[in-house]
Amino acid sequence: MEKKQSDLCRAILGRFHKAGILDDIILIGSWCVYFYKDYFTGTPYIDQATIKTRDLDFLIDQPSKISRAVNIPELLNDLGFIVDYKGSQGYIKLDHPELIVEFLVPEKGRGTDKPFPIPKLGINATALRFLNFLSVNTIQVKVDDFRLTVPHPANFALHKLIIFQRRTSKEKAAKDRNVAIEVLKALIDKDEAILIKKVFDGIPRPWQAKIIMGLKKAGQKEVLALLG
Amino acid sequence: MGVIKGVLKEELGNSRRMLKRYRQEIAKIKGVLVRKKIGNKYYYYIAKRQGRRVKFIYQGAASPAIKKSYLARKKQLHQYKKLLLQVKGQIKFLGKALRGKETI
Repeated sequence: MEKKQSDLCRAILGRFHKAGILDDIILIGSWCVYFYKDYFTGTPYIDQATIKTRDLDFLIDQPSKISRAVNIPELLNDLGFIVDYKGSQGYIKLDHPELIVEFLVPEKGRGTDKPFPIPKLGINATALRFLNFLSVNTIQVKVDDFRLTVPHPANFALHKLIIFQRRTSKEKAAKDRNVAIEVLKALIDKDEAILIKKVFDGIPRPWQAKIIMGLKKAGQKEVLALLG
Repeated sequence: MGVIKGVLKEELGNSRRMLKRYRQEIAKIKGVLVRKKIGNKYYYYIAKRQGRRVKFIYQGAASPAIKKSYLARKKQLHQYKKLLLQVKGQIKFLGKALRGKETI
């Protein structure tokens, strides 16, 4: 299943690249951990240690700047993806037994529970808080013959430490917390502790407090000492 | 409930949702292309069973384009049926895994 899943994931990314929309998109969520293998070359990093779900989440940081019109449901149709509408508001999900593709945008202002329409791509997206934190510091990893944008692992991990405390599901919260700790440890092993501190120092104080609280909950004294 | 069981439970819900959606899509696409001769001309219809009756949905005068689009539909139907089987397998597997009493 793992091989099939990663092959399908690469096929999707390949199609986005060919259609010219991959540069407008940032891959976020648990699948980042799989693509961080490239970044952590030479340091002990086991992406298998973290649980990857079928959710393949894409962040569209600036929907208004999308220049090409590409109908994503049509683009993925022959791979077997079908469109499903989540909840009463009708958030679009693209379903396949191996992967579930969803799109997210950063929430602005007071926020809304309605989907954010992106007609150029034939989809709508869920607006969520704190996503700017993932798009301000990104890296590019090589996938096949193209490059994929993902959040910097430090931002990814610290973001997970903020959001795990907002989760209503205990299991999801524990999963987010575990993946954050794994990635932070891998960064420390890669001698990038200073970078974690730099990212941490650059974020608003209320967010910093949330991260500290998250680390305390997780009992991570080593990382706490680093940020203190 | 442990982290893994929590994830499996969510995935089971996802698979059940997919099962419903694939069945709906298959029902939409199902049907056989038939050719009828009316007067001196041939016309294509999609023959679809609806309960006890077979409904003939008019497609247009016989043309290679209609046949091509029908073949594409047939290919998609085959693909969806295959994926439906996969989803059924996942539901069975996840159901079994969740019946275990260990906290994982």
